[in-house]
Amino acid sequence: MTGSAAADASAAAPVRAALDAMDSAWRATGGRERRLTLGPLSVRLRIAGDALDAALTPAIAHALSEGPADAVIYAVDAAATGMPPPPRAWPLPALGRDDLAHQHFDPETGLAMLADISRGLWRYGDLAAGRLGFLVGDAAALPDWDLAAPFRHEIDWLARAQGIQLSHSAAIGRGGRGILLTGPGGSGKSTTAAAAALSGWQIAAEDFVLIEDAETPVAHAAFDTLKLGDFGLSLSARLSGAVANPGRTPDEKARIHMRALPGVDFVPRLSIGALAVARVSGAPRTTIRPIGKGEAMRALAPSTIFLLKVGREDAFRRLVRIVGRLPTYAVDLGRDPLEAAEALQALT
Amino acid sequence: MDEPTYIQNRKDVSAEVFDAEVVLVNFTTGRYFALRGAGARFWAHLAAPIGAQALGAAVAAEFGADAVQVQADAAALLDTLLAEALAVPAETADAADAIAVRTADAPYAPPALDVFDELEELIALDPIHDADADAGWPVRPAAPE
Repeated sequence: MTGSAAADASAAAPVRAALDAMDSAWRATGGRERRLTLGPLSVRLRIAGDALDAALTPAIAHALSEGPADAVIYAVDAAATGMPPPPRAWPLPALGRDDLAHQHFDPETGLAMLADISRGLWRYGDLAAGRLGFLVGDAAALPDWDLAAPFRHEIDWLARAQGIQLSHSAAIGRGGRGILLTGPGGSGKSTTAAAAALSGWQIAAEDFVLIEDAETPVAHAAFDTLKLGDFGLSLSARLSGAVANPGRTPDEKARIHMRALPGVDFVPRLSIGALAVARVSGAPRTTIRPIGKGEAMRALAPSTIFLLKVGREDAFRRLVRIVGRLPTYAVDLGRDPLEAAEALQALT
Repeated sequence: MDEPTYIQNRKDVSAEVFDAEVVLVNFTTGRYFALRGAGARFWAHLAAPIGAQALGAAVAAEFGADAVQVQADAAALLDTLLAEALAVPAETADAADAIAVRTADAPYAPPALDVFDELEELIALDPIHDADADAGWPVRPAAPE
């Protein structure tokens, strides 16, 4: 065995051991399995723990079915199943470490790990074997972002192998042809996407979307979640009546699942014809103007890359290609989100 | 004594040239940047180890610009790139690796680096997570006395 192969085997052992333990925990709970289908991605979902199942599945319920798939994602609630805590020593050479997490991602070996230790969240990927796992210390303590975008890291890892990039942006459209709407927190992206959805637009995503890196990029829906602040909620009583996290903290956004909103056309895919960068202007009416691709890249890439945490250069390169394929615009949002949604029709 | 040389920090930084600007993201600090003016050419020459004097000379030659001004701009830009960890000292320098000088198709404009730090603030807002070295997860390490 070469030195490199030995290192790979050494790195693989703790990941595979964790996945084996999660498989055992899942089988001990009765072994329920469903298929999760998100665009070209299809994976068997094996969740151990009723509370964890109830927490993780609402945002992906639209994509669950029965049937086979090549890859598998385990999700195990350690508190409910009695699965012992993960090893306290970090078992892989980490590529980096920030304040949130330990992280490791190696496309050559197909091994990935993300650990947010004090929250008790461990994610494992043996991508060559098509096995991934999300170990949760206590389902009751899951942060709301894991309910809004469950399995987002596991989905990201699987998507990359198929040339698909999970991106921090909204996708809205008309007649199957859409735009990516992006912007930093407070840019008005979410409220504008919600206003569009309430105005008869199709919507495939409000916060995270899978983008197929094709000549004409395709947005595939992943989560049916809207995340809105108080201003966004005030758009319609339909929104305020569908909030799924009424006990949220003051700094958390309201989480709404689109299937709970009558009349909203949540669609599985949109072909993408433009990238629009939202920003609050304070002006009475919305204006749209072309911008350079650098400015668009700065709006789209950094938040996507930091939220996904691993494989950053790979994600950056794919986003460069996607931005390069699309005309790019700034949308200076007027005061009325419904008027902004109407103005965006110029881009479809 | 040889001039110290510098190079793009490829370990922690991704960068791409779009028209008149270079977009740079530092994965470690959470800061991202727009490098404008002649910055794209300064950045291009940092793809291989290069010293401040040689950097200024190469860019001045490309633009046919005033060498004194461009040398000063090169030194100032290098200071900023090093402070932001976008460039790092090079371990070795080989003249054969130098990026070719080419004729610029626009007048010289001093490089300008715009800094965007809102993601850095978001990262800093999150508490540091760790486990006690002996007790392990989910026990937090004791606060230093």
